[in-house]
Amino acid sequence: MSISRLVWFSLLSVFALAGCVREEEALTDNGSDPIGGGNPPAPPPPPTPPTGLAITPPADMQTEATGPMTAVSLGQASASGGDGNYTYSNDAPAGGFTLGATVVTWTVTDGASAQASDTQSVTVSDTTPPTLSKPDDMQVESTGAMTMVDIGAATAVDLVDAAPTVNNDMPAAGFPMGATPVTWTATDASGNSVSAVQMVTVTAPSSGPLNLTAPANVSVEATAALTNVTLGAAMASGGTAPITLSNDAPATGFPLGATVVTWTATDAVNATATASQTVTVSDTTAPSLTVPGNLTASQDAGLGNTMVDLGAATATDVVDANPTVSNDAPAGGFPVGNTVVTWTASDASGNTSTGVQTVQITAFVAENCDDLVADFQTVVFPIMNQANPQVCESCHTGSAPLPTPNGFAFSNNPPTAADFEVFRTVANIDSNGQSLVLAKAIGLAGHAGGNRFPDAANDPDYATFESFVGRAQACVANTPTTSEVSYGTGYEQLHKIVGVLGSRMPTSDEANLVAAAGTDQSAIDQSLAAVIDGLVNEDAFYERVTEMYNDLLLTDKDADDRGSVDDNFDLDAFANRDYFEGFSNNGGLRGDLRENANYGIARAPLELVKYVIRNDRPFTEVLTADYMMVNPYSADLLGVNAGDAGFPFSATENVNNHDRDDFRPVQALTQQNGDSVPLAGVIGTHAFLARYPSTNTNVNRKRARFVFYYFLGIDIEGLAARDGLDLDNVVGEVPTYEDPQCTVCHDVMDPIAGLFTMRDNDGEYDDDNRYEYTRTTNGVPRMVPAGYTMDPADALPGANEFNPLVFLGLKLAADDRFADKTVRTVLNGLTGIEASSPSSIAFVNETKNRFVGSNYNFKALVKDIVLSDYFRATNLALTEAPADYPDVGSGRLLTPEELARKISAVTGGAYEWRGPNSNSGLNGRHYMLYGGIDSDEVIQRTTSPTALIDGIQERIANQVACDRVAEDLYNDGLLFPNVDETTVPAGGEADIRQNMVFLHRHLLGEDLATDSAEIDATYQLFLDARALGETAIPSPCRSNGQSNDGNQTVLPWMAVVTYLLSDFRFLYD
Amino acid sequence: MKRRDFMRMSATASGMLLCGGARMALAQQAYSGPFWLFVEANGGWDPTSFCDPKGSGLGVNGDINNYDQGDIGQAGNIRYAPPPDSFAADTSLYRNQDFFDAHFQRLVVINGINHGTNSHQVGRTASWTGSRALNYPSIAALIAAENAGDMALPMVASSSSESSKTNGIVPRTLVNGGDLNAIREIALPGLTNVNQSTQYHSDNTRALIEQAAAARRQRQLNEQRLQRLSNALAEHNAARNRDVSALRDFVDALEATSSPNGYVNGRSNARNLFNSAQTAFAAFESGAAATAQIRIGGFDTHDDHDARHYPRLMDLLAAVDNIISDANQRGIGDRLIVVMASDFARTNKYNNDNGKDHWSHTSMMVWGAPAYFSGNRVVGGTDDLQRSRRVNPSTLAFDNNGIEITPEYTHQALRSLAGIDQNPSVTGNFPFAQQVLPIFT
Repeated sequence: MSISRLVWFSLLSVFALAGCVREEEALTDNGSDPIGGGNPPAPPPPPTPPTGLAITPPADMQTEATGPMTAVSLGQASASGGDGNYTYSNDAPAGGFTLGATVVTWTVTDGASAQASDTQSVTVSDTTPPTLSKPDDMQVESTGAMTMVDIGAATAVDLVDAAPTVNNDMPAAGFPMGATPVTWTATDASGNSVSAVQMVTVTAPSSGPLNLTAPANVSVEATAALTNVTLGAAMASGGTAPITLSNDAPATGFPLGATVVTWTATDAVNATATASQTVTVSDTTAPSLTVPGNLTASQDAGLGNTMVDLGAATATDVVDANPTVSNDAPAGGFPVGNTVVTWTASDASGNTSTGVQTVQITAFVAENCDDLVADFQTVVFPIMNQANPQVCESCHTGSAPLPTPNGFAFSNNPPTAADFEVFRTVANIDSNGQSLVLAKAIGLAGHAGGNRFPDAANDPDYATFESFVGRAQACVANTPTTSEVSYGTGYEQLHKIVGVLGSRMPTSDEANLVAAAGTDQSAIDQSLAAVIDGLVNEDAFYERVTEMYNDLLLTDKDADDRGSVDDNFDLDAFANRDYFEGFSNNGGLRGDLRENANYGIARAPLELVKYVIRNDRPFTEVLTADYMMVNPYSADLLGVNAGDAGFPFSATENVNNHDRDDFRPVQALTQQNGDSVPLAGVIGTHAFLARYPSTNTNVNRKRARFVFYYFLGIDIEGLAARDGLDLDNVVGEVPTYEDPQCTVCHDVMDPIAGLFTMRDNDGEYDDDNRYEYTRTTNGVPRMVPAGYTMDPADALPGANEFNPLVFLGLKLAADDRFADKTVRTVLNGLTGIEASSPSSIAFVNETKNRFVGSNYNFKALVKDIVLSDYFRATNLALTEAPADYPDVGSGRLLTPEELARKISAVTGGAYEWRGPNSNSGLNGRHYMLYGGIDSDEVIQRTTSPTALIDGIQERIANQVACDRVAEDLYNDGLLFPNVDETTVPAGGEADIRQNMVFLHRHLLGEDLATDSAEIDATYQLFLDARALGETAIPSPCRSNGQSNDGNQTVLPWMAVVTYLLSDFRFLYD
Repeated sequence: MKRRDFMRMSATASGMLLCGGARMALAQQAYSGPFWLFVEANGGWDPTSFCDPKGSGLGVNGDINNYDQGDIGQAGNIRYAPPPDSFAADTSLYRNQDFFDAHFQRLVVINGINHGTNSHQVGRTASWTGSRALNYPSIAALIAAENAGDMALPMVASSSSESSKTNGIVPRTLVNGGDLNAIREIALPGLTNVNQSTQYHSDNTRALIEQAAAARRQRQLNEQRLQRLSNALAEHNAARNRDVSALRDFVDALEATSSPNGYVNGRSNARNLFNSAQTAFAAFESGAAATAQIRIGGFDTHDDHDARHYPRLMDLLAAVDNIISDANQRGIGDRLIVVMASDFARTNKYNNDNGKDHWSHTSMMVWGAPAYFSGNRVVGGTDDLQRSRRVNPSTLAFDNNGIEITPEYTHQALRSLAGIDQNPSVTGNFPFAQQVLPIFT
């Protein structure tokens, strides 16, 4: 179809629909009615068509009426033939089609005015019913049997029919009582109809306003959580019958308290009235209580009050499903005797009931510890020693058990009675209120082996083990108390204490103080305590402490005469690294300065120990101090001034004016690169870190190892002796991180190693060298996280990221094992005791608790140990078994330092023994030969005399006697207060004996009577020596050149003094 | 007159103190057994660099050693490593070939000893006591206590580490301090001047002093009931009764010893080790000691292994070479046994720092005079990954069903060689369950 034709078709359609002028009107004005309606006039006869012209009208059609006149879309006719220039027209009614069939005639005219016509039939139907609107339902009171009601009128509209008919079936005689439906019907002209129902209700007539009265309020006692209550009847009046009553009472019953019930009356015409009733439910009924039966129990093994499992009381209540039950059992356990326990049950309303239970505690009769040995051997040890599950086996039992500070190791199978004593001793060590054995067994108290009873609550072995530990704690040991040891006289005790702590003889004031105490030991103790309080403030005490702590830390390896500071330390660690470069070396000045600076750096740890003690600071500060000790020379290197005008050293001053032992604390240290160095007690000092350097593969494990060893008493390397270690089947690429054979120790050691990461292998601080940067390889972990332990709670806190050693120091200081180790260090230093017997382990534990309780007062600790049996005991009562006192008493070979000081002390202070040819003394080349240490190759003191030590002792005895006897005898010297060279036995025996009493007392700390057997023996030696008749005094031994011992007193006294200086009491502590 | 002769005269002139005094009464017959020199390579040596050679192409990642397997040498039955490539052209150092060619006939090499630990402390303990338990004495102390307990210095040592631990069974004398004059003063305590004959006390006075002192010591011992004090008193008493006359000869022998001119192996470490051995030999010669433990350190080469470790090994072998020569010159070579061992071995690979870390499968070398055992032997071995191979305990041939050689086996064999393995004090206090392997035959 061309566009023009399409437009044409459209126009035709519009005209047809809109009733516009038909096309033929424009062509032929025949005066016909343009509005369709009625029957159209008969069409004129069609002209004779030209040849071939023909029309085809649209198809006949049928449509639903939309109104009285319905517009219809007729469609399009088509034509053929003619000249092809067609014009169409039809006679469709312009106003639309009426109901029924209408014939539309279509005509086509071509350009030659030829026409052709044909018809189309259009039928309009009406099947749509009217729309009906009925009156509302309605209710009226009756007026009689039948009530006439004006029910209103319905309305109806229809599309076609302008007035459809409407009617209803209302009863003509009126409506009866009740509801009657009235059906309304509308019908249009086409017969289409629709219906709707209207309800018309006729009611009885009203008796007045509707009123309601609720039942009276009700109060009842609860019978359950929700109580059923009889409410009574409400009364209604007025209204239109029938009237119904209702209320909102809870269907399941009433709760405690007041509940308002609302009643409602509704009459026949839906009029309502309401009223309220209050229902109150109360609970005054007490619970029902059943208490457990009376009990009898034995006193707890702890010999105090006894914890008893009372059983459970039961209580029920009518309201409260869970009444509370309590009792007044004593929280700290039951005393011996009868105790009435009152149980109380309380419900939620506060109603209570009580019952009583009587608990009888019979006095505990402890087992004898010896009686537990068999159970230890046959019941408990097999549990400990079993291989699967492994409890203690391999680590604490077996042929090579691990060494532990408290000796918890059992190599015998079956274990011996002595082994049980070890077990019992450790069981009695407290760990946060729990036996240390149990704490370790379940993985607490730093147990490297972790939890050995992971299912302790359900593990019968653990139950057995736990029970036995309790028995071991409670049993009565045959081991006697240490009260049966003797200390010697007050002076003997004093002499020993002053010698060990003060490296001197007692003063007369001290001796008098102790003498005034007489023989009463408690009074002696008081006087000695006062003496000790003074001794611990003397320099000599700090010299001894320094030796004790260097024996532990060995940091003197780099101190004193060990070279220049640049030999032993990385100068980059010091802010003024090149400070001494500017000094002349004339007279060796620069070298001296460097040596003194070396001394200052190397001595920092030991000086810190001294400083903390001297200033009565908690000893934990040796690990937590935020300061470092420096001397004038190290202060220069470190660029710090300790606060004194002459400190540090100035180039204009003489080196000799500055005491290298003048150590003072400084807080802010920086390195050559400007980094500030966090300080952390001993472990943060350059000396400690350089003494224990690390390597790139050791990654600070060595440092961690020594931290454990020195500060916690754990020899972690010693723990590496593991039977059955299978190195052929190592797990993982990094076994120390992955293989359980290795991690058992490395998981203990490596977290602390990680805390050292920021100090390089030589000890320099590097804040770029944080842990996370070094402990991974390509992002793969190589070591466990840095921390105090593997426990996440012990991980390095973010706040300590740049000062991890500060964190370590704090953790160490808070660790119970630090206190234990400190006690052991002091005990060993003062007595030589290793504390490995059960009794000494127990002593260490008790002393540790007092030490901690004193806020780590080191001086108090020293006093505690010095006044103990372990230090003072000199002998044992005959009634006691020596085996019960295996490590009581000192018996310690004096160190060369101590012996040197002792020689000086007994000879008056100025004399120092030196070999005649070597000019070397116990502080010189004889030092190592007498068992000293160099803190490097030799790190353990010789505690048993070798032939060399023996020879030194002999030479000292000979030589000191030679050097001092004639000198003092002739010159009223220290050693001879009662005699001189003229005092001979004839007439002078008493004086000689008295002087011997003095010498025994002075040199040996031995209080003897002049007629004692020992003085007799000494006097006899004097006499025997005289009897030899010798008179030639060796030349080195003469006084004032006097070579002839004419009175025969010098040589006998030399013999006596040699005899005494060779004595055990002089050479041993 | 030679100084040494003078000293002997002086000592004689010093009277009965040293010849007839109370101490002499306890002097024992001269010791006629072997002199044991235990040489510790401290830090953990690398056997693949000398007596248990492997070479490149073996080990983890094929880098067990930086030398070709084809360059491995052999002296008699003993194979030895060539220098690492970095030292191949260095002619200044001693070489394995020098040592093994000179000594293979007297040498027993025990390879593939599993120390079962990577801990230095435990490794040293195992290496020198035979046990990883911490309460066993070193073999030097044990032999001294069993065979030479009455000597003046039954055991001498140059350090106080685990390698020379005594556990209190015998005095250990550390001789790396002091000087000759000091020691002479000790050896001659009764002389007012060691170069003269003047005594502090006449012999008779001295005897009176000794007599009185001995009586007092006995009284003290009798009265003392506390064990610690009693033990200390007994120790003191024993020391005062000890025959120390051999000290005098020890000093003479030390004085007669001249330090080597210059360095051994061109390095001070080897010379120091040699000097330590000279001190020990002086003690042996003088009848003062029967065992000695000396050491050389520096073997813990966690980085730059070849450059640092190989020269140390050569120090050790060069020093021992010189030590054996010195013993022969002194006339004690035919009574000498030298035991060389270390904490453990080093890994079968190089770490990122070109170092080698700790490895438990290690070796021991024992050189002995012909009277004691046959040399030219290698016992045990390791596989290509440097892991111990099992051996038949009777034939010592490799046997997968045999035993793994551990320190207990090597020490049981050493004890047997010393003739103390059946001593009740040994089997009772420091037992080994292991049998005696026929290592020293």
